[in-house]
Amino acid sequence: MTGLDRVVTEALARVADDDVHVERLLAAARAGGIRHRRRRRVAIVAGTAFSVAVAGTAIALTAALLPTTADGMPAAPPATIAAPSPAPSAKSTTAAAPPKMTAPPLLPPADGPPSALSDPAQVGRPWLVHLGMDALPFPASVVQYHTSADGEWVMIQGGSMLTVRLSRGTTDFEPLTGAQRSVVVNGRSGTFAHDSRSGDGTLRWRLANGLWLQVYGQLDEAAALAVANSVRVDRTYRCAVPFRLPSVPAGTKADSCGMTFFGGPSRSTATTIAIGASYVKFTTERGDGPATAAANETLGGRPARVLEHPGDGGRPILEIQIGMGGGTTLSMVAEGSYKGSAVRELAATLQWLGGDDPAAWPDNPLPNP
Amino acid sequence: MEFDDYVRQRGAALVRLGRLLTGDRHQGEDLVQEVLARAFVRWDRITADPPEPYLRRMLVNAAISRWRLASNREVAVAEPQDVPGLRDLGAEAAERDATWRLIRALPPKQRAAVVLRYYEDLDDAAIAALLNCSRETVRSQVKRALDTLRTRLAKEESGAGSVGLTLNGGKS
Repeated sequence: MTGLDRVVTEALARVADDDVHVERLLAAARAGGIRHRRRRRVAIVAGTAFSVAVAGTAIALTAALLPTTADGMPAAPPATIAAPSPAPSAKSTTAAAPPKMTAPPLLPPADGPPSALSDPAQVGRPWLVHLGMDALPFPASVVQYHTSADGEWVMIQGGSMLTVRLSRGTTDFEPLTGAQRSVVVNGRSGTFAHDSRSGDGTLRWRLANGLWLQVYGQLDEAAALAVANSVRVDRTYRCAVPFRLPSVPAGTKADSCGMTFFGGPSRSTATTIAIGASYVKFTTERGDGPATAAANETLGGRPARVLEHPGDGGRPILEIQIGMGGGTTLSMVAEGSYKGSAVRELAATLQWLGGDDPAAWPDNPLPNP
Repeated sequence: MEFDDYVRQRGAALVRLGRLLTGDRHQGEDLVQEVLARAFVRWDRITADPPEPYLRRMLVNAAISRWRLASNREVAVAEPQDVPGLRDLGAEAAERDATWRLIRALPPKQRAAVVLRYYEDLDDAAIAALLNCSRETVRSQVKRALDTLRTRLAKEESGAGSVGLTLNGGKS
Protein backbone atom coordinates (compact mmCIF):
# COMPACT_ATOMS: atom_id res chain seq x y z
CA MET A 1 0.00 0.00 0.00
CA THR A 2 1.39 3.38 -0.98
CA GLY A 3 1.18 6.46 1.16
CA LEU A 4 -1.70 7.73 -0.91
CA ASP A 5 -3.56 4.42 -0.59
CA ARG A 6 -3.18 4.62 3.17
CA VAL A 7 -4.29 8.22 3.36
CA VAL A 8 -7.37 7.55 1.24
CA THR A 9 -8.30 4.42 3.20
CA GLU A 10 -7.97 6.20 6.55
CA ALA A 11 -9.89 9.25 5.37
CA LEU A 12 -12.79 7.12 4.17
CA ALA A 13 -12.83 4.99 7.30
CA ARG A 14 -12.84 8.07 9.54
CA VAL A 15 -15.73 9.74 7.72
CA ALA A 16 -17.81 6.57 7.55
CA ASP A 17 -17.23 5.48 11.09
CA ASP A 18 -19.91 7.35 13.00
CA ASP A 19 -22.69 5.67 14.91
CA VAL A 20 -25.73 4.48 13.01
CA HIS A 21 -29.10 4.21 14.71
CA VAL A 22 -30.22 1.01 13.02
CA GLU A 23 -33.68 0.75 14.58
CA ARG A 24 -34.47 4.29 13.50
CA LEU A 25 -33.21 3.45 10.00
CA LEU A 26 -35.39 0.33 9.93
CA ALA A 27 -38.50 2.20 11.05
CA ALA A 28 -37.94 4.97 8.49
CA ALA A 29 -37.24 2.49 5.69
CA ARG A 30 -40.36 0.47 6.46
CA ALA A 31 -42.54 3.56 6.65
CA GLY A 32 -41.05 4.81 3.38
CA GLY A 33 -41.57 1.42 1.79
CA ILE A 34 -45.22 1.35 2.73
CA ARG A 35 -45.63 4.85 1.28
CA HIS A 36 -43.87 3.71 -1.93
CA ARG A 37 -46.17 0.73 -2.19
CA ARG A 38 -49.20 2.96 -1.81
CA ARG A 39 -47.95 5.40 -4.44
CA ARG A 40 -47.22 2.54 -6.84
CA ARG A 41 -50.76 1.24 -6.44
CA VAL A 42 -52.22 4.67 -6.99
CA ALA A 43 -50.07 5.14 -10.07
CA ILE A 44 -51.06 1.77 -11.48
CA VAL A 45 -54.71 2.38 -10.77
CA ALA A 46 -54.60 5.89 -12.17
CA GLY A 47 -52.96 4.66 -15.35
CA THR A 48 -55.44 1.89 -15.81
CA ALA A 49 -58.39 4.10 -14.99
CA PHE A 50 -57.24 6.50 -17.67
CA SER A 51 -57.11 3.76 -20.27
CA VAL A 52 -60.56 2.66 -19.17
CA ALA A 53 -61.88 6.19 -19.55
CA VAL A 54 -60.48 6.37 -23.03
CA ALA A 55 -61.48 2.99 -24.37
CA GLY A 56 -64.14 1.70 -22.09
CA THR A 57 -67.86 1.53 -22.29
CA ALA A 58 -70.24 1.91 -19.39
CA ILE A 59 -72.42 -1.09 -18.73
CA ALA A 60 -73.69 -2.25 -15.35
CA LEU A 61 -71.89 -5.09 -13.65
CA THR A 62 -73.37 -8.40 -14.57
CA ALA A 63 -75.69 -10.01 -12.07
CA ALA A 64 -73.79 -13.22 -12.62
CA LEU A 65 -71.26 -11.94 -10.11
CA LEU A 66 -73.76 -12.09 -7.27
CA PRO A 67 -72.17 -14.43 -4.74
CA THR A 68 -73.63 -17.33 -2.90
CA THR A 69 -71.55 -18.29 0.07
CA ALA A 70 -70.52 -21.75 1.03
CA ASP A 71 -70.97 -21.13 4.73
CA GLY A 72 -74.57 -20.06 4.46
CA MET A 73 -73.97 -16.42 5.21
CA PRO A 74 -76.07 -13.95 3.33
CA ALA A 75 -74.45 -12.63 0.21
CA ALA A 76 -73.40 -9.04 0.10
CA PRO A 77 -75.68 -6.62 -1.68
CA PRO A 78 -75.05 -6.44 -5.40
CA ALA A 79 -73.06 -3.58 -6.75
CA THR A 80 -75.26 -0.64 -7.49
CA ILE A 81 -73.92 1.24 -10.42
CA ALA A 82 -75.16 4.52 -11.67
CA ALA A 83 -76.97 4.51 -14.99
CA PRO A 84 -74.52 4.00 -17.81
CA SER A 85 -73.48 6.98 -19.78
CA PRO A 86 -73.43 6.83 -23.56
CA ALA A 87 -70.56 4.79 -24.83
CA PRO A 88 -67.72 7.03 -25.89
CA SER A 89 -65.82 6.61 -29.07
CA ALA A 90 -63.10 4.05 -28.66
CA LYS A 91 -60.45 6.61 -29.49
CA SER A 92 -62.06 9.57 -27.80
CA THR A 93 -59.84 11.46 -25.45
CA THR A 94 -62.76 13.34 -23.96
CA ALA A 95 -64.63 10.28 -22.72
CA ALA A 96 -66.61 10.65 -19.52
CA ALA A 97 -65.21 9.00 -16.44
CA PRO A 98 -66.81 5.66 -15.55
CA PRO A 99 -69.70 5.89 -13.08
CA LYS A 100 -68.76 5.69 -9.43
CA MET A 101 -69.56 2.59 -7.43
CA THR A 102 -71.84 3.04 -4.46
CA ALA A 103 -71.59 -0.54 -3.21
CA PRO A 104 -68.64 -2.92 -3.11
CA PRO A 105 -68.04 -4.71 -6.41
CA LEU A 106 -68.41 -8.41 -6.02
CA LEU A 107 -65.78 -11.02 -6.59
CA PRO A 108 -66.89 -14.47 -7.73
CA PRO A 109 -67.75 -16.66 -4.74
CA ALA A 110 -65.53 -19.55 -3.76
CA ASP A 111 -67.41 -22.75 -3.09
CA GLY A 112 -65.74 -24.98 -0.59
CA PRO A 113 -62.95 -23.19 1.27
CA PRO A 114 -63.86 -22.09 4.81
CA SER A 115 -63.99 -18.42 5.71
CA ALA A 116 -61.19 -16.63 7.50
CA LEU A 117 -63.44 -16.42 10.52
CA SER A 118 -63.62 -20.17 10.89
CA ASP A 119 -60.04 -20.84 9.77
CA PRO A 120 -57.53 -17.97 10.02
CA ALA A 121 -54.90 -20.05 8.21
CA GLN A 122 -56.93 -19.51 5.04
CA VAL A 123 -55.68 -15.93 4.83
CA GLY A 124 -52.74 -15.76 2.47
CA ARG A 125 -53.81 -18.65 0.27
CA PRO A 126 -53.48 -17.80 -3.38
CA TRP A 127 -56.60 -17.18 -5.43
CA LEU A 128 -58.84 -16.62 -2.38
CA VAL A 129 -60.12 -13.38 -0.87
CA HIS A 130 -61.69 -13.31 2.59
CA LEU A 131 -61.84 -9.59 3.15
CA GLY A 132 -65.06 -7.85 2.24
CA MET A 133 -67.21 -4.88 3.16
CA ASP A 134 -70.93 -4.43 3.54
CA ALA A 135 -70.80 -0.91 2.16
CA LEU A 136 -68.42 1.57 0.61
CA PRO A 137 -67.66 4.58 2.80
CA PHE A 138 -67.94 6.90 -0.20
CA PRO A 139 -68.72 6.59 -3.92
CA ALA A 140 -65.68 4.95 -5.41
CA SER A 141 -64.10 5.28 -8.82
CA VAL A 142 -61.72 2.40 -8.12
CA VAL A 143 -61.91 -0.60 -5.81
CA GLN A 144 -58.96 -2.93 -5.75
CA TYR A 145 -58.68 -6.34 -4.05
CA HIS A 146 -55.33 -8.00 -3.48
CA THR A 147 -54.25 -11.25 -1.85
CA SER A 148 -50.83 -12.75 -1.21
CA ALA A 149 -49.02 -14.70 1.47
CA ASP A 150 -48.55 -11.41 3.34
CA GLY A 151 -52.31 -10.97 3.69
CA GLU A 152 -55.15 -9.27 1.89
CA TRP A 153 -56.19 -5.70 1.30
CA VAL A 154 -58.91 -3.69 -0.29
CA MET A 155 -58.16 -0.20 -1.54
CA ILE A 156 -61.01 2.18 -2.24
CA GLN A 157 -60.44 5.35 -4.20
CA GLY A 158 -62.95 8.09 -4.79
CA GLY A 159 -62.79 11.61 -3.49
CA SER A 160 -60.51 10.12 -0.87
CA MET A 161 -58.51 6.94 -0.55
CA LEU A 162 -58.88 4.21 2.01
CA THR A 163 -57.17 0.89 2.61
CA VAL A 164 -58.47 -2.05 4.65
CA ARG A 165 -56.05 -4.83 5.48
CA LEU A 166 -56.38 -8.36 6.81
CA SER A 167 -53.38 -10.39 7.85
CA ARG A 168 -52.01 -12.84 10.39
CA GLY A 169 -49.54 -10.15 11.51
CA THR A 170 -49.10 -6.40 11.32
CA THR A 171 -45.68 -6.31 9.70
CA ASP A 172 -46.91 -4.88 6.41
CA PHE A 173 -49.50 -2.56 7.91
CA GLU A 174 -49.11 1.21 7.83
CA PRO A 175 -47.57 2.22 11.17
CA LEU A 176 -49.76 3.71 13.87
CA THR A 177 -48.70 7.32 13.55
CA GLY A 178 -49.77 10.19 15.78
CA ALA A 179 -51.81 10.34 18.95
CA GLN A 180 -53.26 6.97 19.91
CA ARG A 181 -56.29 5.99 21.91
CA SER A 182 -58.07 2.75 22.71
CA VAL A 183 -61.33 1.99 20.92
CA VAL A 184 -63.76 -0.90 20.62
CA VAL A 185 -64.62 -2.46 17.25
CA ASN A 186 -67.45 -4.97 17.25
CA GLY A 187 -66.67 -5.80 20.86
CA ARG A 188 -62.94 -6.19 20.25
CA SER A 189 -60.39 -3.78 21.62
CA GLY A 190 -58.40 -1.81 19.10
CA THR A 191 -56.24 1.26 18.68
CA PHE A 192 -56.98 4.40 16.73
CA ALA A 193 -54.08 6.67 15.78
CA HIS A 194 -54.48 10.08 14.20
CA ASP A 195 -51.67 12.07 12.63
CA SER A 196 -52.68 15.70 12.97
CA ARG A 197 -50.11 16.82 10.39
CA SER A 198 -51.23 14.53 7.56
CA GLY A 199 -54.81 13.96 8.68
CA ASP A 200 -54.27 10.20 8.35
CA GLY A 201 -56.24 7.99 10.67
CA THR A 202 -55.34 4.37 11.37
CA LEU A 203 -57.59 1.94 13.19
CA ARG A 204 -56.18 -1.45 14.07
CA TRP A 205 -57.88 -4.30 15.87
CA ARG A 206 -57.56 -8.03 16.34
CA LEU A 207 -60.20 -10.68 15.91
CA ALA A 208 -60.74 -13.40 18.47
CA ASN A 209 -59.06 -15.91 16.17
CA GLY A 210 -55.84 -13.87 16.06
CA LEU A 211 -56.25 -12.21 12.66
CA TRP A 212 -55.41 -8.51 12.45
CA LEU A 213 -57.45 -5.90 10.61
CA GLN A 214 -56.63 -2.29 9.87
CA VAL A 215 -58.40 0.65 8.28
CA TYR A 216 -56.22 3.49 7.01
CA GLY A 217 -57.08 6.74 5.27
CA GLN A 218 -58.03 10.36 5.78
CA LEU A 219 -60.35 9.48 8.61
CA ASP A 220 -61.31 10.73 12.03
CA GLU A 221 -62.17 8.23 14.71
CA ALA A 222 -65.90 8.09 14.01
CA ALA A 223 -65.37 7.58 10.28
CA ALA A 224 -62.72 4.91 10.86
CA LEU A 225 -65.04 3.06 13.25
CA ALA A 226 -67.87 3.22 10.73
CA VAL A 227 -65.65 1.65 8.08
CA ALA A 228 -64.39 -0.96 10.54
CA ASN A 229 -67.92 -1.95 11.45
CA SER A 230 -68.69 -2.65 7.78
CA VAL A 231 -65.73 -4.98 7.31
CA ARG A 232 -66.57 -8.67 6.97
CA VAL A 233 -64.39 -11.75 6.99
CA ASP A 234 -67.13 -14.39 7.05
CA ARG A 235 -67.24 -15.01 3.31
CA THR A 236 -64.80 -16.40 0.80
CA TYR A 237 -64.38 -15.18 -2.76
CA ARG A 238 -62.10 -15.96 -5.66
CA CYS A 239 -59.44 -13.75 -7.13
CA ALA A 240 -59.64 -14.74 -10.78
CA VAL A 241 -57.79 -13.96 -13.99
CA PRO A 242 -58.98 -14.41 -17.60
CA PHE A 243 -56.41 -16.99 -18.67
CA ARG A 244 -54.81 -20.32 -17.88
CA LEU A 245 -51.15 -21.25 -17.84
CA PRO A 246 -51.31 -24.89 -18.86
CA SER A 247 -47.56 -25.31 -19.14
CA VAL A 248 -45.34 -23.88 -16.44
CA PRO A 249 -41.84 -24.83 -15.26
CA ALA A 250 -41.62 -27.29 -12.36
CA GLY A 251 -41.90 -25.61 -8.99
CA THR A 252 -43.97 -22.67 -10.21
CA LYS A 253 -46.08 -21.22 -7.39
CA ALA A 254 -48.70 -18.50 -7.10
CA ASP A 255 -47.39 -15.38 -5.39
CA SER A 256 -50.21 -12.85 -5.45
CA CYS A 257 -53.46 -11.99 -7.17
CA GLY A 258 -55.41 -8.78 -7.53
CA MET A 259 -58.59 -7.55 -9.19
CA THR A 260 -59.42 -3.91 -9.78
CA PHE A 261 -62.87 -2.53 -10.55
CA PHE A 262 -63.57 0.83 -12.16
CA GLY A 263 -67.27 1.34 -11.80
CA GLY A 264 -68.14 -0.12 -15.15
CA PRO A 265 -67.67 -3.45 -16.84
CA SER A 266 -63.96 -2.85 -17.07
CA ARG A 267 -61.67 -4.44 -14.60
CA SER A 268 -58.03 -5.25 -14.57
CA THR A 269 -56.35 -8.24 -13.04
CA ALA A 270 -52.80 -8.71 -11.84
CA THR A 271 -51.23 -11.93 -10.71
CA THR A 272 -47.65 -12.87 -9.98
CA ILE A 273 -46.16 -16.34 -10.10
CA ALA A 274 -42.82 -17.42 -8.67
CA ILE A 275 -40.60 -19.68 -10.71
CA GLY A 276 -37.64 -20.58 -8.55
CA ALA A 277 -35.78 -17.33 -7.98
CA SER A 278 -37.75 -15.36 -10.53
CA TYR A 279 -41.16 -13.70 -10.58
CA VAL A 280 -43.46 -13.09 -13.51
CA LYS A 281 -46.32 -10.65 -13.14
CA PHE A 282 -49.29 -10.89 -15.52
CA THR A 283 -51.53 -7.84 -15.84
CA THR A 284 -54.67 -7.67 -17.96
CA GLU A 285 -56.32 -4.34 -18.64
CA ARG A 286 -58.24 -2.42 -21.25
CA GLY A 287 -56.19 -1.48 -24.25
CA ASP A 288 -55.45 -2.61 -27.75
CA GLY A 289 -51.94 -3.83 -27.09
CA PRO A 290 -48.87 -2.79 -29.03
CA ALA A 291 -49.32 -1.44 -32.49
CA THR A 292 -48.37 -3.92 -35.17
CA ALA A 293 -45.41 -1.78 -36.08
CA ALA A 294 -44.21 -1.84 -32.46
CA ALA A 295 -44.39 -5.62 -32.17
CA ASN A 296 -40.97 -7.16 -32.44
CA GLU A 297 -41.74 -10.84 -31.84
CA THR A 298 -44.54 -13.32 -32.36
CA LEU A 299 -45.47 -15.41 -29.32
CA GLY A 300 -48.12 -18.10 -29.59
CA GLY A 301 -49.13 -16.67 -32.95
CA ARG A 302 -49.75 -13.20 -31.47
CA PRO A 303 -47.70 -10.08 -32.22
CA ALA A 304 -45.84 -9.11 -29.08
CA ARG A 305 -43.71 -6.22 -27.95
CA VAL A 306 -40.76 -7.64 -26.01
CA LEU A 307 -38.34 -5.39 -24.20
CA GLU A 308 -35.50 -6.17 -21.81
CA HIS A 309 -33.89 -3.40 -19.79
CA PRO A 310 -31.93 -2.90 -16.56
CA GLY A 311 -34.18 -2.54 -13.55
CA ASP A 312 -33.64 -0.92 -10.21
CA GLY A 313 -30.41 -2.36 -8.90
CA GLY A 314 -29.20 -3.17 -12.39
CA ARG A 315 -30.73 -6.62 -12.71
CA PRO A 316 -32.53 -7.08 -16.05
CA ILE A 317 -36.29 -6.93 -16.38
CA LEU A 318 -38.13 -8.53 -19.29
CA GLU A 319 -41.41 -6.98 -20.38
CA ILE A 320 -43.85 -8.48 -22.86
CA GLN A 321 -47.02 -6.81 -24.10
CA ILE A 322 -49.61 -8.59 -26.23
CA GLY A 323 -52.98 -7.47 -27.53
CA MET A 324 -55.42 -10.27 -26.73
CA GLY A 325 -58.33 -8.95 -28.79
CA GLY A 326 -61.57 -7.59 -27.45
CA GLY A 327 -59.79 -4.46 -26.32
CA THR A 328 -57.67 -6.16 -23.69
CA THR A 329 -53.93 -6.09 -23.29
CA LEU A 330 -51.84 -8.66 -21.47
CA SER A 331 -48.59 -7.40 -19.97
CA MET A 332 -45.94 -9.62 -18.46
CA VAL A 333 -42.99 -8.42 -16.39
CA ALA A 334 -40.27 -10.87 -15.36
CA GLU A 335 -37.80 -10.05 -12.62
CA GLY A 336 -35.14 -11.93 -10.71
CA SER A 337 -33.17 -14.83 -12.13
CA TYR A 338 -35.56 -15.53 -14.97
CA LYS A 339 -34.85 -17.33 -18.21
CA GLY A 340 -36.06 -15.29 -21.15
CA SER A 341 -36.92 -18.43 -23.09
CA ALA A 342 -39.10 -19.71 -20.23
CA VAL A 343 -40.96 -16.41 -19.96
CA ARG A 344 -41.56 -16.33 -23.70
CA GLU A 345 -42.80 -19.91 -23.49
CA LEU A 346 -45.30 -18.86 -20.83
CA ALA A 347 -46.59 -16.14 -23.14
CA ALA A 348 -46.72 -18.48 -26.11
CA THR A 349 -48.65 -21.24 -24.33
CA LEU A 350 -50.95 -18.98 -22.30
CA GLN A 351 -54.58 -19.94 -22.90
CA TRP A 352 -56.64 -16.76 -23.14
CA LEU A 353 -60.24 -16.94 -21.90
CA GLY A 354 -61.19 -13.29 -21.91
CA GLY A 355 -64.75 -12.20 -21.36
CA ASP A 356 -66.26 -9.91 -18.77
CA ASP A 357 -67.43 -12.50 -16.28
CA PRO A 358 -64.87 -13.43 -13.62
CA ALA A 359 -67.17 -16.25 -12.47
CA ALA A 360 -66.29 -18.00 -15.72
CA TRP A 361 -62.58 -17.71 -15.08
CA PRO A 362 -60.70 -20.64 -13.53
CA ASP A 363 -60.31 -21.26 -9.80
CA ASN A 364 -56.59 -21.50 -10.41
CA PRO A 365 -54.85 -20.58 -13.68
CA LEU A 366 -51.92 -22.85 -12.85
CA PRO A 367 -52.03 -26.55 -13.63
CA ASN A 368 -50.99 -27.50 -10.09
CA PRO A 369 -53.48 -27.29 -7.19
CA MET B 1 -33.74 -13.32 4.93
CA GLU B 2 -36.51 -11.06 6.20
CA PHE B 3 -36.28 -7.33 5.49
CA ASP B 4 -36.01 -6.40 9.16
CA ASP B 5 -33.23 -8.93 9.75
CA TYR B 6 -31.31 -7.65 6.77
CA VAL B 7 -31.53 -4.00 7.85
CA ARG B 8 -30.48 -4.88 11.39
CA GLN B 9 -27.49 -6.84 10.10
CA ARG B 10 -26.38 -4.67 7.19
CA GLY B 11 -28.11 -1.32 7.62
CA ALA B 12 -25.18 0.32 9.41
CA ALA B 13 -22.75 -0.78 6.70
CA LEU B 14 -25.04 0.61 4.01
CA VAL B 15 -25.34 3.92 5.83
CA ARG B 16 -21.56 4.20 6.09
CA LEU B 17 -21.24 3.49 2.39
CA GLY B 18 -24.01 6.00 1.70
CA ARG B 19 -22.18 8.69 3.65
CA LEU B 20 -19.07 8.17 1.56
CA LEU B 21 -20.90 8.02 -1.76
CA THR B 22 -22.86 11.20 -1.08
CA GLY B 23 -20.10 12.96 0.82
CA ASP B 24 -22.52 13.97 3.53
CA ARG B 25 -23.64 12.23 6.69
CA HIS B 26 -27.30 13.22 6.52
CA GLN B 27 -27.63 12.85 2.76
CA GLY B 28 -26.07 9.43 3.04
CA GLU B 29 -28.57 8.32 5.67
CA ASP B 30 -31.47 9.76 3.67
CA LEU B 31 -30.29 7.98 0.57
CA VAL B 32 -30.02 4.63 2.33
CA GLN B 33 -33.50 5.10 3.80
CA GLU B 34 -34.84 5.80 0.34
CA VAL B 35 -33.07 2.82 -1.21
CA LEU B 36 -34.25 0.49 1.57
CA ALA B 37 -37.80 1.79 1.21
CA ARG B 38 -37.74 0.95 -2.49
CA ALA B 39 -36.24 -2.43 -1.70
CA PHE B 40 -38.94 -3.08 0.91
CA VAL B 41 -41.61 -2.91 -1.78
CA ARG B 42 -40.02 -5.73 -3.77
CA TRP B 43 -38.16 -7.60 -1.04
CA ASP B 44 -39.40 -11.03 -2.16
CA ARG B 45 -37.88 -10.49 -5.56
CA ILE B 46 -34.64 -9.06 -4.27
CA THR B 47 -34.02 -11.94 -1.90
CA ALA B 48 -34.34 -14.49 -4.65
CA ASP B 49 -30.57 -13.95 -4.75
CA PRO B 50 -28.27 -12.62 -2.01
CA PRO B 51 -29.55 -9.05 -1.49
CA GLU B 52 -26.24 -7.35 -0.73
CA PRO B 53 -25.00 -6.77 -4.31
CA TYR B 54 -28.44 -5.60 -5.37
CA LEU B 55 -28.73 -3.11 -2.51
CA ARG B 56 -25.21 -1.83 -3.03
CA ARG B 57 -25.88 -1.29 -6.69
CA MET B 58 -29.13 0.52 -5.96
CA LEU B 59 -27.22 2.72 -3.53
CA VAL B 60 -24.39 3.48 -5.93
CA ASN B 61 -26.79 4.27 -8.77
CA ALA B 62 -28.92 6.46 -6.53
CA ALA B 63 -25.88 8.31 -5.23
CA ILE B 64 -24.57 9.01 -8.70
CA SER B 65 -28.01 10.09 -9.92
CA ARG B 66 -28.50 12.38 -6.94
CA TRP B 67 -25.03 13.80 -7.42
CA ARG B 68 -25.76 14.59 -11.06
CA LEU B 69 -29.04 16.23 -10.18
CA ALA B 70 -27.35 18.37 -7.57
CA SER B 71 -24.24 19.12 -9.57
CA ASN B 72 -25.60 22.29 -11.12
CA ARG B 73 -26.27 23.67 -7.67
CA GLU B 74 -22.86 22.91 -6.24
CA VAL B 75 -19.54 24.50 -6.94
CA ALA B 76 -16.93 22.02 -8.03
CA VAL B 77 -13.69 22.30 -6.12
CA ALA B 78 -11.30 22.60 -8.99
CA GLU B 79 -8.43 24.11 -7.07
CA PRO B 80 -8.92 23.51 -3.34
CA GLN B 81 -7.92 26.36 -1.13
CA ASP B 82 -5.82 25.99 1.96
CA VAL B 83 -7.74 25.03 5.05
CA PRO B 84 -7.55 27.75 7.68
CA GLY B 85 -5.98 26.52 10.82
CA LEU B 86 -4.62 23.42 9.18
CA ARG B 87 -1.28 23.87 10.83
CA ASP B 88 -2.90 23.94 14.23
CA LEU B 89 -4.70 20.66 13.90
CA GLY B 90 -3.25 17.27 14.56
CA ALA B 91 -1.31 16.30 11.51
CA GLU B 92 -3.19 13.05 10.90
CA ALA B 93 -6.60 14.60 11.36
CA ALA B 94 -5.66 17.42 9.04
CA GLU B 95 -4.42 14.95 6.49
CA ARG B 96 -7.64 12.96 6.63
CA ASP B 97 -9.79 16.05 6.44
CA ALA B 98 -7.90 17.38 3.47
CA THR B 99 -8.04 14.04 1.72
CA TRP B 100 -11.75 13.64 2.34
CA ARG B 101 -12.45 17.14 1.09
CA LEU B 102 -10.61 16.32 -2.12
CA ILE B 103 -12.34 12.96 -2.49
CA ARG B 104 -15.68 14.76 -2.19
CA ALA B 105 -14.69 16.98 -5.08
CA LEU B 106 -14.05 14.07 -7.43
CA PRO B 107 -16.56 13.38 -10.22
CA PRO B 108 -19.26 10.93 -9.07
CA LYS B 109 -18.06 7.79 -10.82
CA GLN B 110 -14.46 8.38 -9.82
CA ARG B 111 -15.48 8.91 -6.23
CA ALA B 112 -17.69 5.83 -6.26
CA ALA B 113 -14.81 3.78 -7.66
CA VAL B 114 -12.46 5.07 -4.98
CA VAL B 115 -14.96 4.42 -2.18
CA LEU B 116 -15.70 0.92 -3.44
CA ARG B 117 -12.00 0.16 -3.84
CA TYR B 118 -10.64 1.64 -0.62
CA TYR B 119 -13.57 1.46 1.77
CA GLU B 120 -15.51 -1.58 0.57
CA ASP B 121 -12.27 -3.28 -0.47
CA LEU B 122 -13.85 -4.61 -3.68
CA ASP B 123 -11.83 -5.85 -6.62
CA ASP B 124 -12.12 -4.42 -10.13
CA ALA B 125 -14.64 -7.00 -11.27
CA ALA B 126 -17.00 -6.33 -8.38
CA ILE B 127 -16.71 -2.57 -8.83
CA ALA B 128 -17.31 -2.93 -12.56
CA ALA B 129 -20.48 -4.88 -11.87
CA LEU B 130 -21.72 -2.20 -9.49
CA LEU B 131 -20.88 0.68 -11.79
CA ASN B 132 -22.08 -1.15 -14.89
CA CYS B 133 -18.81 -0.68 -16.72
CA SER B 134 -15.74 -2.69 -17.68
CA ARG B 135 -12.84 -3.51 -15.39
CA GLU B 136 -10.62 -1.38 -17.59
CA THR B 137 -12.93 1.56 -16.98
CA VAL B 138 -12.75 0.94 -13.24
CA ARG B 139 -8.97 0.90 -13.31
CA SER B 140 -9.00 4.07 -15.39
CA GLN B 141 -11.42 5.82 -13.02
CA VAL B 142 -9.39 4.89 -9.96
CA LYS B 143 -6.12 5.91 -11.59
CA ARG B 144 -7.48 9.28 -12.65
CA ALA B 145 -8.92 9.82 -9.19
CA LEU B 146 -5.63 8.98 -7.51
CA ASP B 147 -3.69 11.17 -9.93
CA THR B 148 -5.99 14.05 -9.08
CA LEU B 149 -5.72 13.43 -5.35
CA ARG B 150 -1.96 13.10 -5.51
CA THR B 151 -1.59 16.35 -7.41
CA ARG B 152 -3.94 18.30 -5.19
CA LEU B 153 -2.60 16.90 -1.94
CA ALA B 154 0.91 17.76 -3.05
CA LYS B 155 -0.26 21.27 -3.80
CA GLU B 156 -1.88 21.51 -0.37
CA GLU B 157 1.25 20.14 1.22
CA SER B 158 3.41 22.72 -0.42
CA GLY B 159 0.90 25.42 0.51
CA ALA B 160 0.22 24.33 4.08
CA GLY B 161 3.72 23.24 4.78
CA SER B 162 3.30 21.28 7.93
CA VAL B 163 0.83 18.56 7.03
CA GLY B 164 3.75 16.32 6.38
CA LEU B 165 2.38 14.06 3.70
CA THR B 166 4.72 11.77 1.94
CA LEU B 167 2.59 10.17 -0.68
CA ASN B 168 5.05 7.58 -1.83
CA GLY B 169 5.54 5.75 1.41
CA GLY B 170 4.06 7.10 4.55
CA LYS B 171 4.48 10.17 6.62
CA SER B 172 7.66 12.08 6.98
